[in-house]
Amino acid sequence: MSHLVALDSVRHRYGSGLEIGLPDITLDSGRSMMVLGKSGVGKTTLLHIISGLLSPTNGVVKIQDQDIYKLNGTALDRFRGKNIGIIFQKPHFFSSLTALENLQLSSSFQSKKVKQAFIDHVLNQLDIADKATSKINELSQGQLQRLSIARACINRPKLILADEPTSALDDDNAMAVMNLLREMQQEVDAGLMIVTHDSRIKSKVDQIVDLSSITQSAQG
Amino acid sequence: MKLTTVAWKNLVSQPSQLVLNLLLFSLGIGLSLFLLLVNDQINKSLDNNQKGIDMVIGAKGSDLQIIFSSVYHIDNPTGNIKIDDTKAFLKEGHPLIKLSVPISIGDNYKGFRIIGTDEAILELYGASIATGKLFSDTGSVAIGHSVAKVTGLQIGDHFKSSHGLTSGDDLEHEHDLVVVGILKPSGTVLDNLILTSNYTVWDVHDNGAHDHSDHNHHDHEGHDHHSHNHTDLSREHLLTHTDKELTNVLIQFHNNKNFQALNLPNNIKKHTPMHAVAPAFAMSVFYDRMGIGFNLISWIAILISIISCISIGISLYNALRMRRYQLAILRVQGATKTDLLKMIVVEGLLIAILGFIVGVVLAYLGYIIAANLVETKFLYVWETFPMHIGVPIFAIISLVLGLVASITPALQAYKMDIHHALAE
Repeated sequence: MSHLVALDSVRHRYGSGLEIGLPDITLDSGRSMMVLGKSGVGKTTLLHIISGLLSPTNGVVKIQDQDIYKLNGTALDRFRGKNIGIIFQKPHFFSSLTALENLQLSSSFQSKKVKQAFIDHVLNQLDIADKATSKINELSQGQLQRLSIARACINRPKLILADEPTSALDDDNAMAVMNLLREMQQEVDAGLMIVTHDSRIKSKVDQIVDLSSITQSAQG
Repeated sequence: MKLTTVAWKNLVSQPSQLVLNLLLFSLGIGLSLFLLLVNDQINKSLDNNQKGIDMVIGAKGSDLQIIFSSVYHIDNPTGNIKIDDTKAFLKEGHPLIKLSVPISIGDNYKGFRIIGTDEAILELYGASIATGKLFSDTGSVAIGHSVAKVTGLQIGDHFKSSHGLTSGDDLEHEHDLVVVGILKPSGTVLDNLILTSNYTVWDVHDNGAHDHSDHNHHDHEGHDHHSHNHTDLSREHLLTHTDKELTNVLIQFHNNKNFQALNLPNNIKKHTPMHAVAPAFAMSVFYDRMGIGFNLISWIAILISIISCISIGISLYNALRMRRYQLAILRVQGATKTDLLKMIVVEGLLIAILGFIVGVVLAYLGYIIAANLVETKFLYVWETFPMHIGVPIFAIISLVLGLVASITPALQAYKMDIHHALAE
């Protein structure tokens, strides 16, 4: 059976010489996973490796059976844009554009254009439709976070990656964001992987991977 | 959403920086183009009027004053020369001279100079009559195309000349002048002149506002002493007035590269009480002097363009530093390295294109102001809206400058390590 995400013997060496060995992870379509670990353990490294932003020293990273590091630069960029949506801890947008324009920009790099009706639907789902024409600096932090989720989902990715989406939120808001993430995951029928140290959301995911047992070794 | 739209929105989101960059860029382009347009028109005006005139004879004085007063009609003459001294050059048969034109610079009408001459002047400038005829007796005039247009004078109209060469003088002569002809537009100084016979100029000054104690009456055919009316406007007849004076003689040689022709001005200066100058030589000296000023302004314009190029580069680089995280996120969303490179380059090109358009508008506005000033002060009419090869050339230069300004920040964006940018 093929997996949506499959990591096999992936290791990464930092510039400092420190090398980490990541667990062999598999995630299937429609499932959700929480990658738990303390700060500095390698959560963001894992997220960047899976999203094709950081080439591992060793090992294979497959998404939809595609070994992503066998793709050339442009093909990898296009593959990422089409198949992976990422939500960063701090939402960043083009301040010169409106909320809607930021979403349109995200979809503009794909060969298959996203219909405006779907963009409107996503904005409605996330309760920020009335902010569509607002400039980024007119949006609250909560609205920006929901816009981040919208942006990650706008191209109907196969995989949604989220980096500490709830860490800075209180319990109610953390649960609200998780609910939204799950809703959008089901809406676009994607796999969801959350890297976080926030154990409050354990109950909201199907699988949990703990990075506390990650192997670290100093090289050279 | 297209990258061009994003680039444009990025630019207008920082209006003060955009205005500063546009101002610098358009100033450099505008100043350069303005200089080209003005220089071109000056050269055209000077060349058109100088064409065909190989030597000018006048009273002792400066070379340029003689040229500017007798060829371009924008300065005062250096004085008068006796007809007796000019006979050798005015009568037919001089082995070196193909054509000679006597000139008596007279007064003005509403700022347009009245020139005493004969029909040879039409041949010299390649001009012809549009309606009516050339002056045929004392008091009759043929007016240039611009004179007719500006003053509204028509054939049969009478007017009185004003004393002096500019419209500022109030003293009006009592003699009536009558328009008998209007010249076709020739693109030369003749468009701005009122042509009459030398006798008219003498007559006006001898019996008009001037003391005419020096006026000698001669008995000869074609001269009605009673009414001072001359009907014989032939060159032979003119040369019988040996006591009279002209202002200049314009000369065209059979061969202006002939050694003797080239030496003639010096010989005249050495062996006669007159001065002679070759316009081509005098004007090349003038161009050299004027060129220093033009070159200086040109270098300033180039310097401004370089500074604007650097300024655009710095502002794009600073914007890149501020937007590093945003650009990294664009990459995450599927933008390629080339997409980011294109976006930054498009920003540079947009400033360049806008700066070019504003620069061209400024250059032509400046040109229109300069053309009006020249027309008011010197009565020279420049082309209303000259198309200049400099416009497409500056369009290309602008694009190159925009590209040069944006290439460094664009390459930085291209080479950006997304993992590190996102981790910052």
